[in-house]
Amino acid sequence: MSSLDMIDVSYAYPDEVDKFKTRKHRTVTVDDIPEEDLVLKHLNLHVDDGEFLCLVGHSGCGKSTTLRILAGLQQPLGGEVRIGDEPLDGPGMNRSVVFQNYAIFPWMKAKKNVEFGIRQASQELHRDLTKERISEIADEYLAKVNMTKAADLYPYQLSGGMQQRVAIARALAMDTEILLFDEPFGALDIKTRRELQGLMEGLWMSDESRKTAIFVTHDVEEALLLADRIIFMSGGRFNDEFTVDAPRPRDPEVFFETDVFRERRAYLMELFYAAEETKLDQTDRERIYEEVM
Amino acid sequence: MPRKIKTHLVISHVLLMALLGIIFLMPNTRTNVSPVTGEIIAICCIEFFYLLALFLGHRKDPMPEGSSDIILIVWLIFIAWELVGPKLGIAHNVLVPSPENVFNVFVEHADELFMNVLSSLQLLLTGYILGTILGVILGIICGWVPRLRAIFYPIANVFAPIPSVVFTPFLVIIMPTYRWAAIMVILIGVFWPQFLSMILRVGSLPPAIVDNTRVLMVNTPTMIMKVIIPYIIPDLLKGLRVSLTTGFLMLMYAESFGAKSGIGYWISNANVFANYANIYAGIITCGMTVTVLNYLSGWLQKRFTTWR
Repeated sequence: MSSLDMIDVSYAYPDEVDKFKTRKHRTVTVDDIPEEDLVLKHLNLHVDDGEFLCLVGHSGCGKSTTLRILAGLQQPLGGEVRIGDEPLDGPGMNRSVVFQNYAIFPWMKAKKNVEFGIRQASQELHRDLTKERISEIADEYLAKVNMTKAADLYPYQLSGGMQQRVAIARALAMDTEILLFDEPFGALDIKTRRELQGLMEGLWMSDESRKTAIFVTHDVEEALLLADRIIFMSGGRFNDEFTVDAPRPRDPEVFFETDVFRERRAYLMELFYAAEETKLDQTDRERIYEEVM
Repeated sequence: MPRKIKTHLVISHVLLMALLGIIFLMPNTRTNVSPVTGEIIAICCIEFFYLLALFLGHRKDPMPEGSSDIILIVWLIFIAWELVGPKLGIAHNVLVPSPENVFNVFVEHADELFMNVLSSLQLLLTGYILGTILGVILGIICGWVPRLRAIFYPIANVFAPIPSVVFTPFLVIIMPTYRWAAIMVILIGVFWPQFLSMILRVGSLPPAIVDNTRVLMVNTPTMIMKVIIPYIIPDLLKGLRVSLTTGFLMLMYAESFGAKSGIGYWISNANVFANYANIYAGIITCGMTVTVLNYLSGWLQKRFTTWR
């Protein structure tokens, strides 16, 4: 329902920024920090309305930081993010986020968690939903993720996969323009992961107004199963990107046998290995540099 | 019912019969033995609670033999006490009063003991509840505001391990009455540990949960009511149980310095007159009071810790 743009976005950790603060020079800008200390380096991105984008890369490549900036949890050091025509300023109810850990509140029953999200969205967006309506929507979305029976269970009574189902139900039930996912299936076993990937693709497709989705993962197959477009990140840069032109829904058993999948997977793996090598190069260079000095 | 309990049931009742036999059939050597009514009531109560625990509790109890083992020990103590006390007269007449005399205190001075327990509970609960409320509220505030935490966490670390009894001399001067001084001793003793544990608990709110509340745009009142309070409740209730013990210790101390009533006063007063029957009766009363309070706080903990 909304496009998303990143314009020359850079980011450095606060500790790093503090190092460049002096008494005279209190506001640090991107230009003050050497490029190798930036976590995100001048990123430009356009995500179309209704597009499913996957960010893939090694741990530490900056993909989660990118997502946190899009979620409004962190402020970019330079550049800006736009949603539609609005510049982004902190968290907002035009986005909902699914995290990997503690994706739902452990002291609320499954349904209460979903209702909480709907109520927050309703308040912020002035939808003025009644209590009964909120409960109805919660039931509807719990049914969509096959969790009707678990509505009155606490998260500790649910498996990791079931907890993520509830988290997905909450994110979708909030009916926001953009969906953000930070490795939501990263802690699940392969079988549960496949189930949830299928479920998510189905839910995303069945939505009459397809939502813009940005999904961070380090799982190559997962990215290929879900994405319209994949961006490979390395060292705080968008290194490479390509589209995945395959019909949906993508049944893993069929899709994994297609040439589209095989080629793209081989290419992604190559990118991973190449990124690994440059990482080695960098540390080697640093070691030599230290020895010389 | 498992076999093991059956044999225990038989052994414990054989011992009970032996105890009753000793009480009624053996002649007393001592001359100052009180009527046996109080002791018989006590034995009946113990038997009643034993059977209650056995028949109601054995399903959930992971150690169903536990209550049977305890009852064996209790009856053996009673038998030994009867023998060395009134029946054979081996033990010291004053230091080891007859069980008849000890339990007779409950019959003869029932109202007096009850009033003392009431007075103690009043002190304990006032100090305990005020201390807990202050500790929790201030703990949440100081835990949540980083700057306040930076100030008060180190301070709390210094004060928490200091027993509040050391402040007694000042409190007696500052507070209007001895009772309030006693309440303050309990309050301070309960406050610091609860305050410290709340600061730590609020500070340990997982960053992932904080992220979640931020993306859901949770405002401060909702944050407190729906996130922070539910999150700290398990630790708060655990703290209640621990500080109950601390509070009771402080109470016993506080009642020995200026009180004119209370169970601690009862014991220290009986001590002055070397009335050991009264001392033992007081100690037993303490034990029963603590048991009831512990049971209640345990129930509270179970009732309100639902989410983990």
